[in-house]
Amino acid sequence: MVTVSTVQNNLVNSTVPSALSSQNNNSAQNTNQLPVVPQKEVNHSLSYYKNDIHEDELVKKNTLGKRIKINIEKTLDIPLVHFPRGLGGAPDYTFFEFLQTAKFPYYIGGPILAALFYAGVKKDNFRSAGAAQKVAKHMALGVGLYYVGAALAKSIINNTVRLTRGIDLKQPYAHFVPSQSRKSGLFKKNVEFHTAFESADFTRTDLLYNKKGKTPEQINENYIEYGKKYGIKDDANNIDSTIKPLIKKTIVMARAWQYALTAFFVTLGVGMANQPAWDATSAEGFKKTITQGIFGKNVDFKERLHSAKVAAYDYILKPFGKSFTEFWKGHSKGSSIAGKSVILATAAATLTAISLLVTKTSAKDHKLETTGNNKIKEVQK
Amino acid sequence: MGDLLTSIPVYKPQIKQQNIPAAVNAAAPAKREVIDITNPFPQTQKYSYIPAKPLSDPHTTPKGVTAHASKARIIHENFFQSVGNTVKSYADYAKYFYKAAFKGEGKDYSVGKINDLSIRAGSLGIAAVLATSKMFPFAKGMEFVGLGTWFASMAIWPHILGAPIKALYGVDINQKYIDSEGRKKYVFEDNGYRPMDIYRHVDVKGRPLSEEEYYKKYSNDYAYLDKVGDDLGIPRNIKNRNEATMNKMGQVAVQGKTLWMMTAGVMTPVVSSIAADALQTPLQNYLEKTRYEKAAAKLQKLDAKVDELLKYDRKDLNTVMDALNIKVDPAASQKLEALMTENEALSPKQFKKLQRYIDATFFGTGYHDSLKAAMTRGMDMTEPRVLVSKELKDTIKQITTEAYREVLDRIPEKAKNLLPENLLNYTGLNDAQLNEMLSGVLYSDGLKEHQVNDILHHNSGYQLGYNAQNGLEQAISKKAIENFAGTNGAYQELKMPQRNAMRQVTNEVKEVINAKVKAYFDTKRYYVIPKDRMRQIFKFAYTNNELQNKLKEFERTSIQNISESMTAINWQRVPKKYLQTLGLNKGEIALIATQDATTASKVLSKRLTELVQDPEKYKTALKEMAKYAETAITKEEKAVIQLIGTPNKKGTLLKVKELMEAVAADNFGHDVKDVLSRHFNLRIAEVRRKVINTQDSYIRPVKVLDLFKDIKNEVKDILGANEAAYNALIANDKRQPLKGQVYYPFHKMSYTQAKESLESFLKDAILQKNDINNWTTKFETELPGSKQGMKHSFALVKKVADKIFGKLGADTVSALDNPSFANRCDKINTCMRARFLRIENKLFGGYTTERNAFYSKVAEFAHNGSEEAYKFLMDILEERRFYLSPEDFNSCKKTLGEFLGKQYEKISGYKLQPAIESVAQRLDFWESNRAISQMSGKNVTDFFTNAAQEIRARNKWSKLVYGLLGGTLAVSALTIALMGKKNYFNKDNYEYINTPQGADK
Repeated sequence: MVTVSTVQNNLVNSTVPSALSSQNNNSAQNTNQLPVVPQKEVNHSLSYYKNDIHEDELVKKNTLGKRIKINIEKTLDIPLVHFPRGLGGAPDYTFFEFLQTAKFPYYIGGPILAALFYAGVKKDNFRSAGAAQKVAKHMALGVGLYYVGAALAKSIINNTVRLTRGIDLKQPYAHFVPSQSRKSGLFKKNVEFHTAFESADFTRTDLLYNKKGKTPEQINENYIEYGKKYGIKDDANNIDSTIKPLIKKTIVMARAWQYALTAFFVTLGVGMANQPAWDATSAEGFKKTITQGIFGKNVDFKERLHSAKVAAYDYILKPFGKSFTEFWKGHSKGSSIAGKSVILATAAATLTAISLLVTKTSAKDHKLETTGNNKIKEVQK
Repeated sequence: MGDLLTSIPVYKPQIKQQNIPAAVNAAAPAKREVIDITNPFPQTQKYSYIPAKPLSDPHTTPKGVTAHASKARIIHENFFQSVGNTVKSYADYAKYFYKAAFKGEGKDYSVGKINDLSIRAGSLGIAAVLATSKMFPFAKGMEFVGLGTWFASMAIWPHILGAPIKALYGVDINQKYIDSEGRKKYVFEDNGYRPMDIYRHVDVKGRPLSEEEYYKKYSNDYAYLDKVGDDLGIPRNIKNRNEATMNKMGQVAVQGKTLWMMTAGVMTPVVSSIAADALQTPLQNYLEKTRYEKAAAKLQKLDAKVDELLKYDRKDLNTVMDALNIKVDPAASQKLEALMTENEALSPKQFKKLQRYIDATFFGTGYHDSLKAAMTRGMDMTEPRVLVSKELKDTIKQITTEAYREVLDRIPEKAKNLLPENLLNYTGLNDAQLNEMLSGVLYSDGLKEHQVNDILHHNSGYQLGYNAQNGLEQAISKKAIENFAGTNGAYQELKMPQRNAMRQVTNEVKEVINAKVKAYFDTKRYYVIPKDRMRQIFKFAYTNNELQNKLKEFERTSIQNISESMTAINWQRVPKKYLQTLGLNKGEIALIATQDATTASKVLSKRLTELVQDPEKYKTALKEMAKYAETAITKEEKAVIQLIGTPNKKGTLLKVKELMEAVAADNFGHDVKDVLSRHFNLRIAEVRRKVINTQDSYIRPVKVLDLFKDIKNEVKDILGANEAAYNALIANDKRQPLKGQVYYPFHKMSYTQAKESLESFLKDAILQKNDINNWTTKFETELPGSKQGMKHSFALVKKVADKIFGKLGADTVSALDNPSFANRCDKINTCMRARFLRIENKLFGGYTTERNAFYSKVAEFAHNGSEEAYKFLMDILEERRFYLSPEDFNSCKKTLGEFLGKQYEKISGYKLQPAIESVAQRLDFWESNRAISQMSGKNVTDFFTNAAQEIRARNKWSKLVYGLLGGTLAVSALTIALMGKKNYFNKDNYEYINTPQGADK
């Protein structure tokens, strides 16, 4: 069955092979196929992808190592690729690239603010310098815990969705950028790493099909997995279309809560950083433990291990826990109220987010109707 | 082009499905013509294509399918409209959040907007949390100022970048439009999507017009694009010029947005920092003013109420509390009630609890000690309550039995053999013994026989009186050993070893019993706390506390050394201004800020010496200093007058003192009143100290300038006007007995040497170690060029000290051009001199050398009655106003008036000498050393060192902030200058329309 839409799809975006087209090869498709343009070798020194890709593909086994590699590459691309291309005003500069560059001010703004604050403190006077250093260190720590808080909020939602729905919101895919269309020469890249679920409107569900599969069970294997998590038992032929709206809903809800929880967790982070548990002296000790204990000269391995334990427990975990209780207790009536309400609100928001994600995205929350021909259709309640 | 269009296959809905295979068949390759594509690059592969064949008759046009006309419009709004719209849009964002978070409905656009909302909410949360962690309103306020400036600079920066880009290239990188679905978007948000349509019917200023209006002005649909194209330098005679313009706009927009992202991370904190810094002073001024006014108004209210109470002599505690609207915190009084018992008797444990509660509630108020004293005073409050009951009798029996058991267990078997059987089997006091003992005790309470019998018979629970209790405590052990301790006949018959053994046992038993009885009695000891009295004490303490707090609230905003008070703000600002008037260079400031006091004072001394030689600079510096000093001092004095008042009108603190003393005396007697008075006096002294400290601190640098200016004359004043005079002075001095030698450190110096030595000593002395803590050691240090200090010559020390605290010279007074301020400096210096005199006396081993600083002045005045002396002494009296009682003040004033023009001569029987003594005594500044150390202001070098440190910190900040600002602006300017040009990415290949040259024109 050849539909015109398939043809059009190929015309519009030749780089996105539809699952349908790969399933239903026929003569018309073959005859109308565009001739493959031979590609020039592209410099991939920055890319962890050793081989050329010619179409978008999912990065299988989304492991931490891979994610780190991808993130390093993406980060390096900001100054090395996106900035030069943007400054040159490359005609094929994408929205993705713009969003990537927007991360730059986000990550340097906070530290610079802390540095500016530190520049303004009185350092000549021993006593006030000590006090100001303490404040400045708290501020730097605040900036750090701000980012930690933001990361934590995202990861809570990611893990909830991954565990309950099997959807890995961080699932990266390598986006093939057809290089012959890029006039960027020096700075051209033919791989950009996106995540499959980054857009609710244009979710790359097409990448979730197993293109090498022969039977519907094989082709839809990912969807069948999702189906189990969502609580849908449907025909292997149709399960993809049943689940797609639920995936969209999951993405929207998860994103909304990620953003909302970020507000709570960054407040919590900064509030905790502001506590006396993180003393200026402990910063010194931490530095010493790392430079002289873990990476010091002439230290035997056992001691290094011990230092690592001390650094992690005494200087990070312990003050972390202590600062939490200090934030809760507060040092005045106002701060105690503020601390308690921030902690409680964060907990409440997190629980609400998790419970909504667990209940509202589940198939149990949706009426499923069988529309004959063994098809189950998702209907909004 | 036209051929291609007609050749695209068109889906025709009317055609039935069966027909499709036919169509496909029709397009079978064998029957189709293959057309070669003309390839301009022969080395690459050759391509060919097969033209599509229409599925149906090419004349058929699609029916029922038409594209909706785009409703997208450019947004043209000014700054205020934009702010208003932003606020409105946050409401929309909240709706987006609700839909997305609770229903899972939304699109990328709406979900993205939630992020904007959340970032702002999070930042607000952070500011709130940080603000609650701050103690003071200014610090709290700055958290929000910081937040506000952060977001403002984040929002403003793209507009700052956008303005020159728009001016140069006509491209507004911040341009927005509303799409067909009503969503607001940036035109250049996504470089891959260039909505040319929105520029249709937009005038050259970027305003969207209605079709009608538009055509009145323009004939071309894209006037705006035409204009931007001109700005961008797109040639006019090319094909598809609008497209070329759009492409160029895209280029500039991408360049602009990238520049924005590269610089925002630096500029947002930098601009925010600068803005917050600029807002700091106005915010501080505003808060200082409003806080002070609020506090002063509150104090005024309190003042009026206290006034009324005093006027009508209201002393009843409840009346006072009602009038002052003081209510005991219900939680506090509930706790107090819980700590007291129904029968007004507290066990030692309960009593301790009550004491601890009182301690915790009133700790640090200075009168919780008196409260504790009031609670435990008198026997009625510490009476043990031991009742005659079955329990008492049983306990006594048990104690006596156990005591014998314990002692017998301790002694060796061998010794036991010596003891009689009845001792070894002792079973405690029997009933007869008990009754005998108790009745003896009860008689000491003054009871009659029948009463005693009755009590003992019925175990009625009679409470033993004080004497009976003490008697009983002693009697039990006595009674328990009486059978074995010598009084008994059988004892006499025993042999020595047995007697010794028994004596040892009974002695030990006695000890054990006494200890046990005491422990038992302690458990029965109760403190009798009359509830009403306790409540009264508590209420009184509470009232006093509340009043103190009200006064403190005012002090906190004004004179206390506490963050954000008037004093603190002065200290933050004035020293910096002082230092600036001296015109030090960067290097000197760095030296002063970082080096030790000696180096710092050397630098200062050098600078000041130079400064006083330039009359203009000297004058400006003095005037500036006077200006800042006056405002700073006046502010604090105003506050002090509110608290302490003037001789004619008492301040609030004094009134409150009077009221509470009256209440204390009336309700609790003089003990409590005295403690309270002492406490209030301390408070008053503290307030006085504070203001003198401030005055001295700010006026000292003025005196420093004065001394430096006039130093040559001052030195000559001490050492003699010329060499001959000096030589004569020294020669004469050498002739004196050792103890009387005034100039002994200079004995071996020539006139020039001596002058230099004294000059450098004086300069150093006034700059450094000017405070009380170093006052005497200063005279012990070696004089330059000599191996001795001057501490053995009281006369010389006095001369030097007189110079340091002396009157301002004529030059300075005229340079100040502010006689009242000059006069005030003199007055304050004179008073400080009087205070320091006592410390100098100490150098000479006592207090007798010169007791009253103004005695000679007063005596002199009494004998000549001069106008000038009268003025001077009245000034001093004025300075004493805070220290003297109104009566003393007025009597002093009266006596001085009598001295003026020797009017006392007209009064018969006037006792002159006692009058002189009395005035001189009252005019003297007697304070303990500690008090002077708190009153003497800041060391001049310290004063400037602090200021230098502040300035340096600020300079460092400015350097970094303005460096970053300048650097980023320069990079931005350079980048903007290079925008829109032909470059590596944009080759600017245009296809020109072949028109003959000049044909257009």
